[in-house]
Amino acid sequence: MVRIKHRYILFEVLYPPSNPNHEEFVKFSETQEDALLTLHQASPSSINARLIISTIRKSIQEHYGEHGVGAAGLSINMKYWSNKTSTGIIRCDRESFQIVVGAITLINRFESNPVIIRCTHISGTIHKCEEYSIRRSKELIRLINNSALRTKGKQSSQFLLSLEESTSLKISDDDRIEIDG
Amino acid sequence: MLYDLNVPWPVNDYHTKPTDVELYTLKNTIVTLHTLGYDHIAINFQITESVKIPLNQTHLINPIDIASLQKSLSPQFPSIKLFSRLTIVIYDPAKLQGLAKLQAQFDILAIQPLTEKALQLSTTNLDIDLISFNLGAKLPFYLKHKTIGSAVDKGIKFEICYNNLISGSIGYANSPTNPIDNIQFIKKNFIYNVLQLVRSSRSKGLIISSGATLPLQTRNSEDILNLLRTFGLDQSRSKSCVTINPERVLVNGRLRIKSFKQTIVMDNNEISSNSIIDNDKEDPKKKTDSNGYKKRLDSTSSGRLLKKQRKR
Repeated sequence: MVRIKHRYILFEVLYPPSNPNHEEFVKFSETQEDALLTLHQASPSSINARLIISTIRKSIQEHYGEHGVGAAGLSINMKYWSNKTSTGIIRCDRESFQIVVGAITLINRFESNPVIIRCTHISGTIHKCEEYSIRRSKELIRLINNSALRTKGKQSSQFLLSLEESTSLKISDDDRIEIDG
Repeated sequence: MLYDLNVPWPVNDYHTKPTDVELYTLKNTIVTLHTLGYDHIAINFQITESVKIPLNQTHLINPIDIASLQKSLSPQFPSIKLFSRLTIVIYDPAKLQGLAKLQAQFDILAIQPLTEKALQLSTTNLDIDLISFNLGAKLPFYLKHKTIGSAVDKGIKFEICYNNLISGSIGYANSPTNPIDNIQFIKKNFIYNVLQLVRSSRSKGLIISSGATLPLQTRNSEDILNLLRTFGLDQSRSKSCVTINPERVLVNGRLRIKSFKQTIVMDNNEISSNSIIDNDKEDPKKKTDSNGYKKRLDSTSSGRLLKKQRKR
């Protein structure tokens, strides 16, 4: 018996500063804390699993054509998505994960939100993705705390708290989102 | 250690000064790149051959104020290292003169040839580190393995700048040279040109850089490599496009400033591989004086002694 093999892609959505009139725009390069907190913002609720999957399919269609959508686009499946931490896990076929990652790289906006999507880990089991995600969040908190120490006396923000929550992330069966083709 | 050797300086000539918004955008781009893991970042000043360079006023040649940028970023981002790069767009190689005077002012020298003749000349005669192409437009010539291969053997690297692919329409607005191209062709041209480069260089001697004018146009290095692999970049050589190859470009360019004939480096402090690359401890006066780091034998104390002995 041979089982069907998959790849799990762990990705995070980053929000670069794009509006020059916004306060973030000037503050962004001042401290590492500001930069990290701006990039790793929580996603608005309009960005959901369904929207992300359909954007990725569109991107595959645009860059790899019908063949790409057939080979890679129809097999993708959102396994986990968290608006709080803007991270998610996508499952796809083992043969075609490179096309999926390529198409994800080329996305630069979700509806009207300009975004950078960064694939941080690709693994054969969802468990390893979870572990890696937890390690990353811890590292991120450490970096932000270090930077806050350097600038002194800044309150840890709401986002930091939600990140701390996510270090105890366990993907329960209720959290997993199933979306049909 | 990741390298991005192309973050464009917002202005392309000597008359205009960048506005505050543009400078903030530049800083934001650098910080975003840093967050994505890049730490050696070169700021690219791109001019066409018709722009008049103030060759006689050496302090005006480099408009990029690396020192103040570095100063404003380094307390918070100690690992960012900034470098300056000059890219000259050339049609006619005969017009290009005084390159030697520019060499001491910039850490990296690059050429963007627009004709086959210019490419030929830059691979054979010019003392440069990097050749870049406008990958969004159709190249008016065919890249031959012989030309590209000989340049790679000489140590000149070729640049793949991925901003065309990510920002299709914006990339178009900035290139008035080819009005026939329209937006949908930019990505197609890019893929075609990358395949041409990969074929003619056999995936050797390529570097990948962002060319990002906005923080939005930067991408994770692994993702970009993965993307280019699906286009046909050699799997085993792809990693070196963001690590070892750009490092070589940088060392090559820095050696031009700091060494004698690119072979001997003198330093009173301990010499490590980093002391060649680092540009923060540099004396700006020494840099403008082309003989600053290139001492002649007879001008040093031991050299003078040797000469005297020979006379006897």
